[in-house]
Amino acid sequence: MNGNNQKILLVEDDQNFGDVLRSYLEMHDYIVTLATDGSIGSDFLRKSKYDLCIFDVMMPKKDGFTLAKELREKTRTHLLYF
Amino acid sequence: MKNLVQNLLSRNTILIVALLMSLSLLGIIGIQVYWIIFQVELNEKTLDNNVLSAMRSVAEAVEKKEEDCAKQDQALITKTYDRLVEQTLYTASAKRAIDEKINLQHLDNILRQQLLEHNINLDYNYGVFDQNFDYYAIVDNQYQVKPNTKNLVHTGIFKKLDVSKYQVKLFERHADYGTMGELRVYFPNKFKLIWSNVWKSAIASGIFTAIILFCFVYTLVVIVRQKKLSEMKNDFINNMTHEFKTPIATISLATDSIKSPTIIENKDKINRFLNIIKQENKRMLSQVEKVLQMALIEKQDFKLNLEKLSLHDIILQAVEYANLQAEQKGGVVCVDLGAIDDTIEGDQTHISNIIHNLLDNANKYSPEKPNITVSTAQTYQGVKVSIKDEGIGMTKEQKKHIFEKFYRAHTGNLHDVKGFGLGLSYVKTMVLAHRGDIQVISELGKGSTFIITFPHKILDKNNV
Repeated sequence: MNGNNQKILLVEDDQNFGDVLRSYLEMHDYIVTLATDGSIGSDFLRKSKYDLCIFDVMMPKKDGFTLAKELREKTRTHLLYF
Repeated sequence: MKNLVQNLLSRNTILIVALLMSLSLLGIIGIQVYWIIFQVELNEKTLDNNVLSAMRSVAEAVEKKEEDCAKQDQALITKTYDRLVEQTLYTASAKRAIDEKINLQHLDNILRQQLLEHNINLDYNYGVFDQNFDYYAIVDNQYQVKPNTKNLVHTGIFKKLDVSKYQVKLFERHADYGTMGELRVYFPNKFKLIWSNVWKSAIASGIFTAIILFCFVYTLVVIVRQKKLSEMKNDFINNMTHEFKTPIATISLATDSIKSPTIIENKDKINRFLNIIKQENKRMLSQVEKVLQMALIEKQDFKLNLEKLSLHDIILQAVEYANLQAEQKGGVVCVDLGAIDDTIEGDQTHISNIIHNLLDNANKYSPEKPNITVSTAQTYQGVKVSIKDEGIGMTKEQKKHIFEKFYRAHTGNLHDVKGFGLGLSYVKTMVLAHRGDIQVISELGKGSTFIITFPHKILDKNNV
């Protein structure tokens, strides 16, 4: 797996999981932006463009589904649930 | 199967079922009332027919008696006088006042006999109204004195006879001579007879309908409660799955990272990942313990290891840990231990868990700088502990439910505060198991205060 410096927005409120996932993705040459709640994630989405966005579902301030909805309203991107 | 249960418990289905049941109940009540009214009306009609039939027979008998007497007189006379005298005598007989034409005893006997023959065994009053002189000539087997004036206002029994619907003409064939009368009967206990065969079935229907109504309301309340519980449990399962999956995924990813050739050379990074694995492991353990603990409480399958404890020691230990958490958010936990005698009888693990849970909540629900105060005070039979925060507080509705199992103020996917909805339920169960008491004072936006009281000694040790 090689990311070729593609940009990823990771929105995850769990500190440990967020850190580990970020390290893991960075290890594979992705540029990762970590947001610790839905509201911060929404701000990042508004300011920059990303190649991939990974949202947790249960989060403070704004949940993952709301973020995904906001993203779909802005771009014709594909959503994957896992 | 799950879909079927969800469909059965959906809000619309419950509403439709409740509506249909309400309509059916109203229909059943309506039909019952209709049948009772119908039966009463039928009884009244039958009574009316029987009474009028009996009275007509009485009128016929009275008239026949009078006719027979007149004929006897005429038979005697016609032997002696001619037809003109006979006619004159008939006219004189017909012109007699009504009280003169009726034999009192005969009327009384024949009326009683006819009513009994028509199955009417009721108390009654009767009167013979003289339409010529406009007064009651006979009332209840007694002649009445003729008043000097007409159009007297009737009261008492006279008024009741006036308005009675049982009225039959007497001596209609004497109408030309103006000596007609009217037999009138009044039954004071008429309703008793009408309702006699209805009231038992009316009361029975009333009781059965009330039972059905009670069962219906009870079932609805249970369904609504079950629906709420089912929703809370679903929320709990979703929440628990999320909370368990996070550490599992973290551990999995951390081990994958360690295996990576770029990391395996870097000791610092390996240590960081190992620390994370250890932390996540502890987190999973504490979550499993919470769920298991609740399962035990639900089965009421716990035994308290009672011993003498210093409540202040337990509080100080818990505060030390809570202070670390509060300091991370720039807050502080203050202590004011004012109780003179802090000894209580209890299970150290559970008492410690109670204080830990309440302090953890105070910290979790203070989004800004947590400002928490723990104080103790002496009470008559024990120690009172207050844990006060200046956090988000609660609404009245939330305050009502916080001790319910699985209840969480924050539901759905929005998780401003993490938790399973088990902490306060556990706290209350354990405080009560220690024969203590728990109360909460809270105001939305201003914070909450949990007040627990523990007795020095548990006197009633049954089921402990």
